[in-house]
Amino acid sequence: MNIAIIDYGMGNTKSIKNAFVHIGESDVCITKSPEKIRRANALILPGVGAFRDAMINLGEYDLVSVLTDEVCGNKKPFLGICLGMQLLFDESEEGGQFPGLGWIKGRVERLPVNDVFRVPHVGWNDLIVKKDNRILAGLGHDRNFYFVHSYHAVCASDYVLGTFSYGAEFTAAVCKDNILGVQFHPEKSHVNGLLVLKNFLAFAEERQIC
Amino acid sequence: MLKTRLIACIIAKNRLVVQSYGFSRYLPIGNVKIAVEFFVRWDVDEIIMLDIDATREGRSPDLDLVEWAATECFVPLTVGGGIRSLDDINNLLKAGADKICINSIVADQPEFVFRAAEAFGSQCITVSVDAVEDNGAYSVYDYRARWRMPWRPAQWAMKQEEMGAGEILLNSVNRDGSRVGYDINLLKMVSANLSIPVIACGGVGRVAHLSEGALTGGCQAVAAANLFQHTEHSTIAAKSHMLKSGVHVRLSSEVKYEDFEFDRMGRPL
Repeated sequence: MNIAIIDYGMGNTKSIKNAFVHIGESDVCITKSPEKIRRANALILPGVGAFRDAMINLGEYDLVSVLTDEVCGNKKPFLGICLGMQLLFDESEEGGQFPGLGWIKGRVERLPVNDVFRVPHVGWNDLIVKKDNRILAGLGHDRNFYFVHSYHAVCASDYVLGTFSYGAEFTAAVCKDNILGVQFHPEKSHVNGLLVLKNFLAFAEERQIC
Repeated sequence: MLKTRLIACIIAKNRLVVQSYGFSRYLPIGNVKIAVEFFVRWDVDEIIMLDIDATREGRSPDLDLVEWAATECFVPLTVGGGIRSLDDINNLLKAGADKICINSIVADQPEFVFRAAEAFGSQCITVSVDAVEDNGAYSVYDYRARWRMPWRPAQWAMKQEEMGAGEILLNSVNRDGSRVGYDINLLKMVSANLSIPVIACGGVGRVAHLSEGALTGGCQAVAAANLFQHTEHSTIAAKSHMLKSGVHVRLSSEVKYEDFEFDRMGRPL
């Protein structure tokens, strides 16, 4: 199965590729080519940095329409990681109300700041699974994943697979049909993260949904 | 809840892992990639890899080494040593580092932290602060010229936070390799004045020292280098002790922590 990691200048594409290779999937390309995106069996959208820059870059590389066609039109299995998950929504208040891809109804807001729960939310935190689903299946007693972000996604609970607790509960993972998003970094979350990526591969293989 | 992080420091000199004593003596012990693989196979939360000769030798970061070490690193990897420009940072991040660690450049170009944080985001900028103690008085240490800078560690760290540093790696020069434990006064002094995370480093000789660094030193992460080079002092023994002491740590589902018992001194039996 061929996996395409979208290269739009923002995101640790290499780390993600290393993780897939480690779990046995070596047919992975890091690309911004529309042909390679169309040919791939599954797509990964990484993301480290600011929402606005990410959307501008996707526009500059002319990736928005091919991605929308493949993901929303052709229902290609898709995984957005960290900022790559936030881009799925209608808009973000980061940098002042900037529109996202709008594939899932919802918005991205700043994590509330206070003395106890500092922003950014950085480090290992427990994932709270909200509904049975393929992508988060098989976790042992350790539910920690590595998070590093200052913004969080707000959407209908129907789409929420899992949350994390940081003063209040916030969205950690979402799913809408073939579209998956995780706020944490699976490629940096040790065995739990590698399991999520394995689950995504199985999901992509069967093209089954949560 | 957010966990206290256990971090393994890999001190590299000529691509080999070395044990460091007082910032002046170094014993070679093995290759960097094997060290990374061991730590990830156990349950370490993050790895910091420092090339301690790069700046002194005027070398830029060894990107091949980072790329090689990063292929099997599925926890956050921080790389430091020889960073002199934003290009160096960009190259390191592309090679596989998640965060970078800077030290000398901060003294030479005070606004570098600000520029780096602006370009790459605070979350990937760790500033290393070396502290030396003399008769109860603490100063920031410049390891190149081996002299004390006219700054107190807490003030220096606060300045870096203001500039946009994401976290501080706080090293005690006096305690480096000493195995008598962290300098808790130093840790408290600095962590109490910051809102960004502080990583304790320097002096760990027993796993109990790690728990101390979190519970008494007030640090969000505890690191050790020399300690983890001996198998009997693995990160597993460390987390087992931290758990028993009441520190909130991440416990990997794939590891058995119950097997460790500790003596009165906090040494694994």
